Amino acid sequence: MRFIHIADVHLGAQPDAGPLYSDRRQRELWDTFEHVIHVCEEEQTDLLLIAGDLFHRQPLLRELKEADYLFSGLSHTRVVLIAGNHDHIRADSYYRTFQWSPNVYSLFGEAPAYVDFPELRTAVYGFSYHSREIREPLYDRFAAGGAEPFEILLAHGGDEKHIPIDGKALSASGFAYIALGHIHKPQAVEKNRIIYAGALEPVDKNDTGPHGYIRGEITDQGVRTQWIPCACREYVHADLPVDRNDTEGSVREKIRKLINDKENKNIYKITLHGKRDSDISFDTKRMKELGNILEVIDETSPEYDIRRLYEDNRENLLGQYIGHFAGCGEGSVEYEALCEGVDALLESRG
Amino acid sequence: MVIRELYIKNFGKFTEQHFYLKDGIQVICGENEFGKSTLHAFIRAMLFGLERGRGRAAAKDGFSRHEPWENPGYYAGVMRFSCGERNFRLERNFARATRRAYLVCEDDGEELSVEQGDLNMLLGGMTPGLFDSTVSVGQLQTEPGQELYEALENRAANYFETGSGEMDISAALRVLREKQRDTEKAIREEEAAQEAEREKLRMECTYLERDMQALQCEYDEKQEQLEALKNRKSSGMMREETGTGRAEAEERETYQADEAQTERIVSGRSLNRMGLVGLLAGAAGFLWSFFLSGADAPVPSAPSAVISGVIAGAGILLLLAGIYTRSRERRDAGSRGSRTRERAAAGGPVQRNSGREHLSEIRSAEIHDAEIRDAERRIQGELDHIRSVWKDKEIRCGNLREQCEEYEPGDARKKLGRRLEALALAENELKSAAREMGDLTARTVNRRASEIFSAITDGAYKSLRMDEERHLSVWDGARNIPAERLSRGTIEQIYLAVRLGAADVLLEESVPIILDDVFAFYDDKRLESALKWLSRQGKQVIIFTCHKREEEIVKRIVCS
Repeated sequence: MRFIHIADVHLGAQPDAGPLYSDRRQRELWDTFEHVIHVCEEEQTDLLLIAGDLFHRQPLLRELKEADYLFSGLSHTRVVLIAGNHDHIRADSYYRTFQWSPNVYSLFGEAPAYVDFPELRTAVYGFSYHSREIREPLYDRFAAGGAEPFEILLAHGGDEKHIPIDGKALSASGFAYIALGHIHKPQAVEKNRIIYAGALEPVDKNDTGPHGYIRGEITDQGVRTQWIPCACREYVHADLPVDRNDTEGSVREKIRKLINDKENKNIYKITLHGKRDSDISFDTKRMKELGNILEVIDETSPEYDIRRLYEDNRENLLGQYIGHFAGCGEGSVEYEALCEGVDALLESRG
Repeated sequence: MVIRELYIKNFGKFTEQHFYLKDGIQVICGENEFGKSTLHAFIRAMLFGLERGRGRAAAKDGFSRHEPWENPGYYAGVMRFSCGERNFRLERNFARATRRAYLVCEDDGEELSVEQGDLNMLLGGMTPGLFDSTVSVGQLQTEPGQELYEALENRAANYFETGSGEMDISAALRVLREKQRDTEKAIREEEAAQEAEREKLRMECTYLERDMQALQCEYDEKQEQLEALKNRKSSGMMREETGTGRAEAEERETYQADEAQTERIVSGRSLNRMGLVGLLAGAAGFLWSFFLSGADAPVPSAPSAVISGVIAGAGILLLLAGIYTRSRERRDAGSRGSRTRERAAAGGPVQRNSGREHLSEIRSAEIHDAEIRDAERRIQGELDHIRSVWKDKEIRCGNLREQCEEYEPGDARKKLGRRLEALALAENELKSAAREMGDLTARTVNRRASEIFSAITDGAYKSLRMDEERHLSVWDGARNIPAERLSRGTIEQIYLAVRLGAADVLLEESVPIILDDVFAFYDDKRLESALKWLSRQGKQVIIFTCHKREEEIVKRIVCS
């Protein structure tokens, strides 16, 4: 039995995408989703598992129709989905009334249920969110029912407010494969068995790194899975080292190079680190305009040899001031205050 | 710095005069009007220039006061001094038209620039104000001025400064506050940008809500229409249920045809009307014929009278026929009324005029009902459509509201917040560090002034203290005595101690101490102690006086 496991597609989201891609980013989520459906069709995958948050918010009817249209084009693949916290099933949710194509199976109940695929010797278990938050660790008591030889759990959650998950309890639950959703960073709780596919496309600027889906196969010998990257963009949090020789211009040049290095396809948040010349300050707002950059954060501090300054000015105001900040670590608010004060004092010197 | 020579070319009462000075303590003794204060003013003018005041103040300023008595266009002098092992010659021309300053190092002939601050550097950054409030003590001007206290406060930060330049605490605080303002502005901008986005979402929400409201109205309207249709349909159905049915309707139709027939035959009432008209016309004709013949014959004209008579006769006949018909009609109507009443009692609607139309109505009602059903279906369809559109909008609206709530400050905004926090912290800490340094400076000044005061008073007072409010008090070993309670002479000594103590703290270069008639209130003992102390300082001390005793004591001290 071959399957593809996706999660957190967040269709309908409008992710921050910087000046270049903001308009089409929303569309890209659909494009990648469509791409996965095509993969299912091409590979004649048996099951497409969607572990919640297919939609970013309450799906509109037309969005459901769009999605179902894509599903309906699958000649072989059966689709099983649950609703996550983002698209939880509200009283007025279209999920409740929507008529899916015959190959789509929804586990939209609040209580655990399963879909049986005898010809695949597979049963898929799961339930859906009916509220935005569920704090009970509902999966901890969830066990495979033994309906079919291959049993799969579709689960969504894993943090404090969204069904806390205990890896050990899941491991002992008896499922052949547990398709997890909710955590956007792809990761395996247990290799080849309990896996967060991660968001199909990064949705938030903090969803850094590559994204994609899980392709797997369950045989009598066990489960083999493979993570396939397919997102068309990445959010990159780049640390740009700055030293005392850098100027606004040289930093801009470095940023330009950094962006072009990666074909300018990605979306950046750039943090400047290190010691800058104390006479230089950076205009991060202007740097942001260099390309597809969400934010430029200046974490540099002026290159003062604080200890030396202290030694040399022990007996004047500068030394007295520095003495006030004894023991504060670099990067703290206190250190920033120290640098600002030293800067102001030295600047006030004739 | 040691002043070697004052060459007064033309200044006040002096013209072409040379005064030679030596290092250490010296007394320039002269009678009143000798020009001691002019010499004092000349030194100051050579060090700092002589600026012409403006407006009314100009009449009393130093420039006017010391304008040469003779040949005021030539207003100049030279001062030679040594500083740090090097000898300099400073030449100034104070006259307005030819004002200039010329500084040259006599050892190597290097020309220096007063404008560029070379002289200022030699003076260790001393300002005229500082000069006046410390080392230069004029007649009756011993009390340290405001300038001294400000200088102490401002220099608190820099007292031990060894590097180049001085830190300016207020400038530094200003920089920090400016940065805070900039940061606050950036935060406001950032928030406004986000607020604008949220506002956009809220607007979209409002539009959707408005649409939804309009849809609701439309829905209610359609709903009413549907209700009305249902009512019409149900009333039609009621008629069919309780109505007389097709047979009865047909009967009613024949009856109505009957009635129409009767209507067609001349009715009794119309006969009556015609008879009456004929009668009247006949009478009128008869009268007319009578009138025609009136004048010439008493008998009416025969032909017209005959015609009138015929007409009137016909009228009478018609009237009679009419009366007869009418009475017959009344009888008929009575029996027909009872028949209708009977029918009404049998349950049929009393619709006298509906007769034949009713049948066609019922025939068309069947078509009509079908139409109503169609309309109903159509309206129901529309209602369903409205509801689905409404729901779609409601969900979109809910999603937008959710999105609106989810906005949170970006990293750049957080960073700005942190920067603001850091700047405020820096300002606070800088202020407190400055306060501490101020205390430190005050302590140093107090300590130094105490030493001086104790030396002058020969240990009669142990210490001198200047508090934060600049109140001066002295400690005699047992009591703390406020300065104002002491004798004039002691107060003068306290002031001198504070000035010289502050000079030690404030002035980097050793600058000549110039005392212009300051010892008038000193007794001999204290004067000797004071001069002894001054002679020990290794500084040039220039004392102007009109008394001989200073000179004698100094001679004695120097000799011993």
